[in-house]
Amino acid sequence: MPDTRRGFHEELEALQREILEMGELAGSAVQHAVHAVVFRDSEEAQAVIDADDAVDARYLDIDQRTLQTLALQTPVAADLRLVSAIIHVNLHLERTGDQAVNVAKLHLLTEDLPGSDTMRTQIREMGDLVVQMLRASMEAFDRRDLELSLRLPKMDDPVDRLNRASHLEALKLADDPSALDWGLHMNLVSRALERVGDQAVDIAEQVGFLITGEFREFTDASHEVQL
Amino acid sequence: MREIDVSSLSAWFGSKQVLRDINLGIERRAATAIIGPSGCGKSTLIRCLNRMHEEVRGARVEGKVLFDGEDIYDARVDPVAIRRRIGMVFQKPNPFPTMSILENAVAGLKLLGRLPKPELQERGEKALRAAGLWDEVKDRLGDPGGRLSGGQQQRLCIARALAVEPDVLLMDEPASALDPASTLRIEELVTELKDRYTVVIVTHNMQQAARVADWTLFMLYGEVVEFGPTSRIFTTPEDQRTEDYVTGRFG
Amino acid sequence: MSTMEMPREISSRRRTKDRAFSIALWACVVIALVPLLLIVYRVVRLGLAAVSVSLFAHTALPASFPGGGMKQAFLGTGMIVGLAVVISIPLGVLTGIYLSEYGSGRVAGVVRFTAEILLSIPSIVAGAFIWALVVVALGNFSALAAGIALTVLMWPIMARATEEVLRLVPTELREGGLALGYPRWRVILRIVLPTAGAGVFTAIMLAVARGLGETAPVLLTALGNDFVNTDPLKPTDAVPLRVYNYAQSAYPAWRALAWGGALMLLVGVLVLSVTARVLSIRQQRRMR
Repeated sequence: MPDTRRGFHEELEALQREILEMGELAGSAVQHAVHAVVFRDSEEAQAVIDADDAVDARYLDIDQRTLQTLALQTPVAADLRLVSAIIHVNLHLERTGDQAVNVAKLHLLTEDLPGSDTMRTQIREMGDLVVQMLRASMEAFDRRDLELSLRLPKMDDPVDRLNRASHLEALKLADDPSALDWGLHMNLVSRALERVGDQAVDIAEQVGFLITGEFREFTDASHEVQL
Repeated sequence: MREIDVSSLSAWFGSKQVLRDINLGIERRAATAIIGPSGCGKSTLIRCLNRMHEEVRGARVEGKVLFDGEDIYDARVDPVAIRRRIGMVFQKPNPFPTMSILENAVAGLKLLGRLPKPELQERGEKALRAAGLWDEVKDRLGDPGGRLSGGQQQRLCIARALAVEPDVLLMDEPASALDPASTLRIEELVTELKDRYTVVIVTHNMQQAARVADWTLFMLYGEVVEFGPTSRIFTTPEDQRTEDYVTGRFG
Repeated sequence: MSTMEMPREISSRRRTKDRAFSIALWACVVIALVPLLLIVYRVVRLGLAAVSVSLFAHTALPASFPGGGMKQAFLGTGMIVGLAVVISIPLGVLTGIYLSEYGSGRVAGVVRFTAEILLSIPSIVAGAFIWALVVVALGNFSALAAGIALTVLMWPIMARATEEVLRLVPTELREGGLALGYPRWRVILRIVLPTAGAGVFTAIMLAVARGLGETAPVLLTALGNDFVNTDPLKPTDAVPLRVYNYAQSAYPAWRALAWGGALMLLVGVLVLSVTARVLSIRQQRRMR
């Protein structure tokens, strides 16, 4: 039977492509921000900050279009879950973009301060992990891969460990005030990266909802992870 | 750009006034939906646009309807001529029972005088394609028009209206008598047609208006309550009555 | 949960009443049908005996001569009814179209009322009227006068039946035509009439069925003739007329021929009525 709501379904596909592109932008922003911190590249950091406007613009566009779609097309069933998922993922990606900006700003604030290579390595590792998580969650979304989405919470564990490790590492810089200053700022960076990890898990939750129709919280601050 | 400009239009059935001082601009090559509760005058309004309202005994119209720079209600204007440029599709599909499918499709063309058979064939095919019916009937063009399903009959009526290449297509609840699948097909058809024709569609199904129309007019008791882009009417209507109607609080 | 006591059985008193009523109704039907069946039986029995080639092939002969027939009467009826049809079809059908398509004003009301009245006037009155109008004017009895007299009786049937049939054509078909830019006359000609099609034919047949059997108007206007007449302006014979005359005669041969003629009239009216009915049923099915 031919698709009798072709225009509507084409719009849904367009919105999906937009979200995936936004995922790319957000992931790339995080990657560049971490790179800027690790390799002390202030130009790169500034570029990340400037690029956030594009992410915000996309966020608004997708937000408006999903609202429009709800009002005008009254989607149901899988279509409705998709629109809902897009709205949530849109928000998570926008926040991810904001976190990348925070990281970049934190570098600019500390660009002249000495640092610790150990911590830089930790941050680099964290950066790689959370970007991977983001990519994995977006891929799960694209391919409607439930199994992949269920693996996200596990991928978050090393990130948490690195986060705690970098806190401990910062304490070691207590002797040098400027290094400590840097170190404390880097704690904020690792927290920002940890948040990106959380956003990726949230996106995976949305994928779960989209596919199964049930919303299950994968990780909850108040509970142990149980899968 | 306005295709039709309605100015101070009022209409009566005998002594009962059904339209009160309507002012409205119908945008060219776009779909305009007219919504409102039963009895609000939407069918009457659309019938005033091609002078079908006055065919009912005792019906009366006052006001102006400007089409292509001319008032269609001017004394010098022949209603028959207007209807060749402003076509209409009705709620109940009405293919002519004594004519075949192809004959139905080209029924309006016969008015233009004797056209050679191949040309009639060609234009019939073109119209049936435009109505999304060609593939289903191309092997049985000689069958009587009444043998098609409800949805197909309605598309045949649309083809019949399109064959004369009107500027405007008026649709009075074209999908009301059809099953949901056929309804969606008609809606999809309307979204295709509005690129080439000016479409005015009356519907009692708000969601249909939301899906299909670029502009929406909300009417109540024979009056215009609100008129604007469909997205605005369904996200942030300006009039409380509009809001109440589209949210289903009344009507 | 409601506890409703269902009556175990319909009371026997009620059942008896019911049955008595059914029996009474059936009795009425039988009483009404019996004379009809008796008539038909008698006509068929006596008429069949007289039906032969000579009934149709020979003209009237004096009773003492064997082998007489009613050929001139059959031909005469053909001519008279033919004339009536030719005059009344255009009048009747066009009136029917007028009443159905344009007929909601006072004039239409008057026309309709006239048709209703004419439907029920005694046929002899129609005959007398045309006698005074045409026979006296022309100076002699004629088939034409008879045709006109029959028209007076046939026209109202055609007009009203045509109107009814056209009214059955759904309004949306007319609207469809008008919306395409058809002028009203074209809507009627190309959409309404073809759709009603067989219905109009039925109307005509019903009218002819009436015209076939009328005796009184023909008596006063055609006079009758023992010979075949092909001139519409001259007196002509007709089957009902001939049956009327022969039935009253003293001659058994003629009376036998009368039964034959009566049977043919019966058959003719029956065929027309049944055909009309069948066509009308098919027509109704088509319009649904």
